[in-house]
Amino acid sequence: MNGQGGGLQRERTALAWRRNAASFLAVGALLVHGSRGHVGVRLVAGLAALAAGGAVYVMARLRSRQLARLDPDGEQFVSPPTLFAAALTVATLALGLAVLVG
Amino acid sequence: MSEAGERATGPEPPSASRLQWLLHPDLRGLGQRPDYRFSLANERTFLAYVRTSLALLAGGVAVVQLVPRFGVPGGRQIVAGLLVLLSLATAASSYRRWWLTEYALRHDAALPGALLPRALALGLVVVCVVVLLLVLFSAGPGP
Repeated sequence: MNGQGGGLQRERTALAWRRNAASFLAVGALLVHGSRGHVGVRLVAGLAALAAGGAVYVMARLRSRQLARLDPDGEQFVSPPTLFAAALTVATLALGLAVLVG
Repeated sequence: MSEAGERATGPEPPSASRLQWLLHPDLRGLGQRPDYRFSLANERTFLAYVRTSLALLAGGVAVVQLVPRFGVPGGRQIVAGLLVLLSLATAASSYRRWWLTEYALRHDAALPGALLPRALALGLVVVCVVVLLLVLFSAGPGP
């Protein structure tokens, strides 16, 4: 098994989590911008999305650390991030519903 | 070395109960430890679906926020609604798909089918057609 390949895999995965954080921030910024300061569903959803972006960034950092313990040439295996994945899905769905309803 | 990632078809995974992905999501101890590269690739695929969902959501929001009126009344709302629904459908399917893939990898069995990608592609085609029609029938004096 190729050590370099393992390192690149980990890097891509960590990067993928960070890209998701950026996506939440982008949606949040769009919603906050569109709310024009009026307190309503749009503003709340936007702020929630920004917060979610921060939370996902934290998940990205934690996941990176988890993956760093993975030895690409060894037998170690890192458990699938079930909790993070579930949280991410719920946050995305909640945001979608808020936009649909708001 | 496991060939699960290279084989698109293969034996069906041992049946997980219908709602196992929801009720008993913990995959540790199920099947065998998969090749970590396939597991990470699965994780990245899931993250890509979530990003797709968020991009569709951003599109839906942008259409009503930033796009000037189409000539057809309610046009923007229709497009926005379609995009947001697509976003929800993608997000809703993504987690289960991730879970089922991980399950299949652990049992060296066939990966989930192409339902989500096909539905997504079809949805996008519908949105494109609607937007095309709106643009064509809006030709005329400006907004």
